Formats: sequence, structure tokens, C-alpha cells
Amino acid sequence: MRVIVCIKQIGFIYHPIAIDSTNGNVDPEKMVYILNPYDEVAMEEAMRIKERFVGSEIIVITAGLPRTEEALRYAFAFGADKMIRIDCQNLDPWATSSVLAETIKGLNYDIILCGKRAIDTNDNQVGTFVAELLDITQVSGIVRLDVVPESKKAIVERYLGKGDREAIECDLPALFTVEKSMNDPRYPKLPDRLRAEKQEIEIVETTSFSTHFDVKLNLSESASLTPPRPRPKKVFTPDSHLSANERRRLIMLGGIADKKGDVLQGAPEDIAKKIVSILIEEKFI
Amino acid sequence: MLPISGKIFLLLLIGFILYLFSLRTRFLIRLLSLGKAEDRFDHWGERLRYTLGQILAGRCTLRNVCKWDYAGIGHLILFYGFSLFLISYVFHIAEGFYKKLSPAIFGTLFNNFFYLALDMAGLVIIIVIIWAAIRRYIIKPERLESTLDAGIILMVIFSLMLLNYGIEGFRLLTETKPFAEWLFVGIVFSRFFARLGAGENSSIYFWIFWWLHIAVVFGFSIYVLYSKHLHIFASPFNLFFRPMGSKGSLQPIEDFEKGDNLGVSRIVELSWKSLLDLYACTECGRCTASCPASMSGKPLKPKEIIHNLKTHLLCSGKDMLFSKDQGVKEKGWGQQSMVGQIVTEGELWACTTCRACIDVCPVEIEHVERIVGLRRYLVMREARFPSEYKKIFKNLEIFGDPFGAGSLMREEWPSGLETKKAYQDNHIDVLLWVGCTGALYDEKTKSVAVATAKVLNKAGVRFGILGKKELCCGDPARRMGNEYLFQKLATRNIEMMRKLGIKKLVTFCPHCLNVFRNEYPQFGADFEIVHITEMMRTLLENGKLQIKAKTASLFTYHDPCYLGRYNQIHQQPRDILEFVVSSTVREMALSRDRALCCGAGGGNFWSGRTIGRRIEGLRIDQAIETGSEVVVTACPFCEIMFESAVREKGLEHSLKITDVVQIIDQTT
Repeated sequence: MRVIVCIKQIGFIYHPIAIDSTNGNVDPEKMVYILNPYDEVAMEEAMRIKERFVGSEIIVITAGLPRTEEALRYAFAFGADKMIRIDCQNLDPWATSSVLAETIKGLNYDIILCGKRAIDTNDNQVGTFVAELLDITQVSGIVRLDVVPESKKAIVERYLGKGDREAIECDLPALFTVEKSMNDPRYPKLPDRLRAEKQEIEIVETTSFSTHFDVKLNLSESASLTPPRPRPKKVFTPDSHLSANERRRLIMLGGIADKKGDVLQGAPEDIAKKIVSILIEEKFI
Repeated sequence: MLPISGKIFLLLLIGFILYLFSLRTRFLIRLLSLGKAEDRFDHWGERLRYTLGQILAGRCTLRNVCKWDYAGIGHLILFYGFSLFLISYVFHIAEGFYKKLSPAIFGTLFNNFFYLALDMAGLVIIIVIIWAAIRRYIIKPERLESTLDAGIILMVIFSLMLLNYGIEGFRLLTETKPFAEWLFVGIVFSRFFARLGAGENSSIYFWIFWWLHIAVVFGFSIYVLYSKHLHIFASPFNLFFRPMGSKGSLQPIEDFEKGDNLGVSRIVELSWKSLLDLYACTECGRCTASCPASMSGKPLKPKEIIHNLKTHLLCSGKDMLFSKDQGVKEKGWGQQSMVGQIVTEGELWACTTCRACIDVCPVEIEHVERIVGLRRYLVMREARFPSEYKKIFKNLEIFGDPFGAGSLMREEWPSGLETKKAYQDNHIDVLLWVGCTGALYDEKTKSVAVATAKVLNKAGVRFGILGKKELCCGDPARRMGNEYLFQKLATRNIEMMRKLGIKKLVTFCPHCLNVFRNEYPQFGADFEIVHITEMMRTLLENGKLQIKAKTASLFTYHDPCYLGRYNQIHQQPRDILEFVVSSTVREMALSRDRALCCGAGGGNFWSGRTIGRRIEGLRIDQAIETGSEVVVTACPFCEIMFESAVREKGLEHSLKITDVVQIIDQTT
């Protein structure tokens, strides 16, 4: 399987330090840049395909300034084989999709994986646009991917909300945008991180495209910027009645309590025993 | 003296035993050579002095003697008693070849005294052995296991003593003039034998006993090499090659590019000294008995780890040596990862790196280094660790603190308090290293930072903070096995502070203290760092800080592991409390070097998982026993853990948890 993963380095705007407290705007100076969490999920899914089918190859592509190479290398450390950066400014979704599609056109691929959305701009568009420009099948927001290499088909499940899923069978090559709940991305192994640091990145210049459109032209432009109402600075203090661990968890999640949970694995008898022991432990019975 | 045939047989037997002995010794030494190189050959004189001091004075075992464990005294008696017997065995064997009784060569007086001493030693050893057997098999202290190995050794020593008396008894019967005076036990035996009617054939019985004795001595000398008694030979070397540097440091990894440098997965990736550790283990179980994880019912038992590694080494060793000789790549056991087979992940992640096991170990086995080595393998080569750690590692890498709060938040805690920023103003005497917990965690830990700043202000110390320039010291990353991340943070911190020209630091976090004092020098740093308790004691003693009013509350002090055991700061906080409290500070059942961990160290604070009971709960129980109203500590992590333990027990109104700095801040 030849898999292409499109990734984006995002400014982590949800982090308190990225917000300028005087006007409530994002301060690019203080921005912390990370790999888009949805793209991590896409990368993880690509790795699972690679681990399942011997001889698979993963290419990671991003479009952006040189600083995006940091995120590119992090994604590469998951276990990819090649990295490409399209050298360009920050572009709008349509222009980004165009440069990505132009680059991908020259490559061999069976599957393209993108994160469903980037958590900084929240446009939800690039994956779909790329599929449109390449004229291939596209399924958005998938949570499960089964590849049938013999028939060159994929069976995917789409998340519909409230636990509903839609199963779709489609031909390859295809582009899928992934939902964040699809998997739990790995922490790259150190030798892979070191390999990624040394790996050469192929730089693609936008001028090399024989395009039928002008990539410099964003289709959208920002008309005006309305600063949000300055909000009182929120200092998160955890409830002091919680235990240290609960408080730690709350602080780490920025105050949002999540559901604790573990997936039990093993033989049905063992799982049953474990469930009983958990119920006793949590004092339900 | 034996007849000529007997002499030849004895000679052959000695040769055979020496052959067996050297065969096994060679095997054991060759196994050590499979380990990685490690330089432990510095400071010969100091090492030798220490080793002799430990062994001859019995300090290795005596230091663990306490109200509920007198075994160390018994061990010392056995050690010296049996040493005397070892000399007697030389004489004993010589007797086979040489007519005259050997000690008699040195004169009658020596002869008399030697055998008197031997008679007495034998009696004392018998008493100690019986006591040991009663302890092990009837009283059954938790740390001891009733293994077959232990039983055989006790039986052998016991039988050696009896055989010795038997020989003496028969010898006395054969001789008209006793071979030595004052044989008070020997005479009893001889009379007993005479009454049984053995007088006529006494010389035959004598030689039967003599051969039996030889057989047991020789058999034992070989058995020693196959049993836990191997420590007789290995532990002196283990003490000699002990780590000489500071107590609190872990070995750095120098080259991350080399794959098998990244932690330990196979047994041969341990250094030769680590392998020697395994031989030295006497299975006394003190490590497990003092391990907070083990005490609270977690899967970790330090002794089991060492014992399992030893068994693994001895079992797979033959194959490994064979393939080394043949120059073939072996696929056997020795080449497989130990994690999951020899050591479980559960064991590894349960360790709080409190060092209690190392401190209590009579032969100074380095358990923590071993465990962290295996963790390094899991984290860096396999990326296998408790799922909560991924967030911690990523936060440390992206934001420079485990909480993911970000550097700018580090300037929020001193709200309303004047603090100089070291990167703006370099007119400071000392830099206050706030640390992530103090600057970022919650109101309680931030208030410790505020109290520290206030105390420094009151004492007129010109201090500054690094604010947004500060990064995590790297302690959590290192203890969790992410050495790469630790070194990244360490080098960044060192470089930044060099640029700012910072020389002297003070901190209230023992973990930061330990890293700065013992581990940053590995990367060329030469900062002087003191703990706030060290500084406050000096300030109180020279009157820079004045106590306004003493408090009447009843205090107990908890020694944080990284302050006490790691850096020997036990007395300073207690001295400070003496200034403040009107009554004396109460001590918990386990204190100072034996203090129980709060359960937060070694990454356990971040995983938040618990199997069995909570360690902080056990510690709070000990604090309650003292009848104190206030538990004082000097570590923000201990404070957080105890806070939650107290709350879980519903004692938040009767038992206060506080930091030394806060008490000083309130009373000055």
C-alpha cells in the first residue's frame, strides 16, 4: 500500500499563553506550534496500514513555511519513508489544496489520509478539496478503515454522531479524512525521532507547477477582523475537594473532566472477572 | 596422619575440588565479562578502606540492626566464628598429611588458645544457627523466605559444628595426653562417646568423622558457588566497586545514536558491575521489606527483580558464552528482551525511585539504576509506558513543563509580590529556582513559592527568578526513563543560565535540588544550589531571620526522599523547626534514612494509578500514630500527596499538612 498523509503544523491557539490578554487576539509571537492532533491520528492510521501490509510506503506532505518542518519531522518519526514540504506562505484552504493536489499528482498512491480538520482554523475543507482536484473518491470523518488490497477496495466507517456509524465500501485510490477518535496516536520511538532529525526533506517549489490556476491567488481573503470582547482572565483552579490525582487530571485537561475508562482485553471469562473486580474496587458491589 | 593410600586419595580429592571450584569460578567471571564496560577503577585506596571497614567491622549488616531486626548481630558472629573455622579447616586438612597437630607448630600456648577459641566459637555459632532457624522457620519475619537454599546452608553449618566436636571428642579418647587444654565442649563429647562404649575403636571413629568432615567442607565449598552464599565471594567486590559519585545521580547516556545504549533490554546490556550486583545478593529481603511499593501491595518486589535477573543470567549464560566462543549470533534466551519475561512492566512502573532499597542493602546493590535502565528501554526504544505519560512527555517537550501550562504562566504566581526577573536585572545574590510545581500546579503549591519569596525578602536576601525563561529541570523525564528528553531540558537550562551568569541558586523542591546538585554536573554545569532549609537554618542561626512567636502545635516531620536519602538533608529542617516550636518535633516510626516515600516519585505522581493501597495513606497513618497536629515536609510533591491522603481519610480538620517554609513565613 502506498499511503500519503497530508499534515499541518498548527499554532496551538487554545493554549492560554497564545492569547494576548489585552485584546483577546492570538499573539503570533507567543504562539506554540505543534502537529495538528487530527493529523497525528491520520499518521497513526497510516502506520497501522504499513504494519499490516509488507512493503507499504508512507509519504508525509505539508505545505508551508520552513518552520513547519518541525511538525513534519515529528510526523515522519511515526515511521514514514519520505517527507515533502511545499514551500509557500500561509494559504487559504483552496490554495493549500491546490498545491497539495499538484504535488500529489506526480506521486503513486493508493490511499491519502488527512485529518478531518485543523484545530486552529477549523475550516474542514482541505481534504475534500484535494480529493476533488485529484478526482478521486473521498470519505470524510472516518473512524475505521479496512483495506482489501486484492480487490483494491476499502471498507470504511463514518461517524454520524450518537454512536451511529455509516459503513461505506469504495474503490481505491481514495482520500479519507479521519476523525480524532479513530485511534490513539503513538509516541514515536527515540531511534525514529533521531532518524527523522537527519532525514532529508524534499522541497517542492510552487513555481514548478504547470498549473491551470494561479496558486498565489487565495480564493478567500480576510475582510475585517473583529476583536472579541475582552474577557476576564480565566485562571483555572481545581476544586480543592478532589484528590491529588483528580486535580492533576483536571489541570492537565484545562478543567474539562473526561470520562475515565479502559478497554478490557482478553478471553471473555477473564474480562468478566476483571469487571467484577473493578465493581468491587469502585465499591459498587 | 593418613596411610599413603589415604594421602593419595585426599590429594586427588583436593585436586578434584579445586578443579570444580575453578571451573565454576571461571564460568561466573566469564559471565561478568559479557556485560558492558564500566569504569569503576578509580580511588583504589578509598575503595579498599571502605570495603574493609564495612566487612571487618560488620558495618554492612550492623547498620540495619533495629528494634525489630537483630539479624545483623547474628551475621557478624557467624562471620567471625566461621572465619576461625576456615583457618581450622586448613589445619584439619594438613593433619591428613602431617603427623603433628598443625596449630602445635606454633607452640603449645597458641594451640591451647586456638582450640579454646574454636570450642567457644562453635558453641556460639550453634546458638546463632538455632536462633536463625527459629527466626526463619517459626517466627517468619516477612522479609525472609523459607527457601531450601537457606535451609541447606543452616544445616551444613550446624553439622560442621557438630562434626568438629565429634572429631575433638574422639581425638581426646585416642590420646592419653590431650592435644589441647581447656576443651570444655570437646571433653563433654568424649565422655559421651566413652559412655556409649566407643572407647576401644575411637581411632576408627575418629577417622570416619574426619573424612565425613572433609566431605562436608569440600561439598560446602562447591555448594557456596551455586547458592545465595555466593555473596561470600561476590559482596566484598561489590562493595569495593560501589558507585563513588554522588548518591542521587543516574548514569547519563552519552550516545543516543547507538541502539543498545538506549536502556537495557537484554541481560548483556547491563554493565559488568550490574551483573556482579546479582552475584552479591544474599536474598536477605531487606529491599523488599523497605520498598513502599511492595509495602502497599504493588507488584514491585526489588529482591524478586534482582533474584530473577540472577537466575536469568545463570540459566542463559552457558548458551551466551558458547555462542561467544563459536562466534555465532545466538538467538537464545540471553538475546531476548527481559521485559515481560523476567521483569514485568507493572513492576518497573511501580517504583517510586525512593532509594530505600539501595540504602538498606548490606551489599549496596543498585536497584534504582537497574529499574530506570529497563524503563529507558521501554520508553525510548519501545515507546511502551503508562498512557498518561505520553501527555507528560509531550508537554515537557513543547511547553517545558509537565502540566502543559507554558512558560508565560511561570510569572503568574508572585501576584502582588515584588520579584526581580533575572533576565532583566542581574543585581542578585541568588536565584530562586521555583520549579514547575511551585509555579504552576495549584494554589497550595504556589503559596509555598510565595512563602519562600517572602522569607527571602524578610532576611534581606537579594534574589531573582527566571520567570518565563525557566524550564522543567527534567527530573520527571529522567526518572520515567526518557533520558533524551531530560538531556534536552538539562542542556537548555544550563546554557540559558550560563548566558545569564547565574552561579548560585536556591530552591524549595528537592527534586530540582537533586538534579541541579548531582546530575547537571554530568553535563558540565557548576552551579551552586542549596535547599531553602539549608539556607534558612543559616539565616536563623546568624540572626538574619527572627522568630516572633513560637507555636504550640505538635509537629512531626516527613523526610522527602530526594532531600533526605538522596542528599542527606535530615537535620536542617529539624533544626529549623526547633527554632519555631515550643515542644520537640515528634518522629514517625520510619524517619530519616528509613523514611517512607510519599508515593509521588519516579513518575508515579503523573500516572496517578494505584494498585493496592496508596503509599501516601500509609505514611499519613504513621504520622497519625505520633499524635501530631501538623505534618511538616519540605517537598511540594509530598505535600500534594499528603493533602489528598488526609482528605481521603476525612482528617482535613485535625491534621494539617504544611511546608517548612510556610511555617517560617508565618512565624517571622
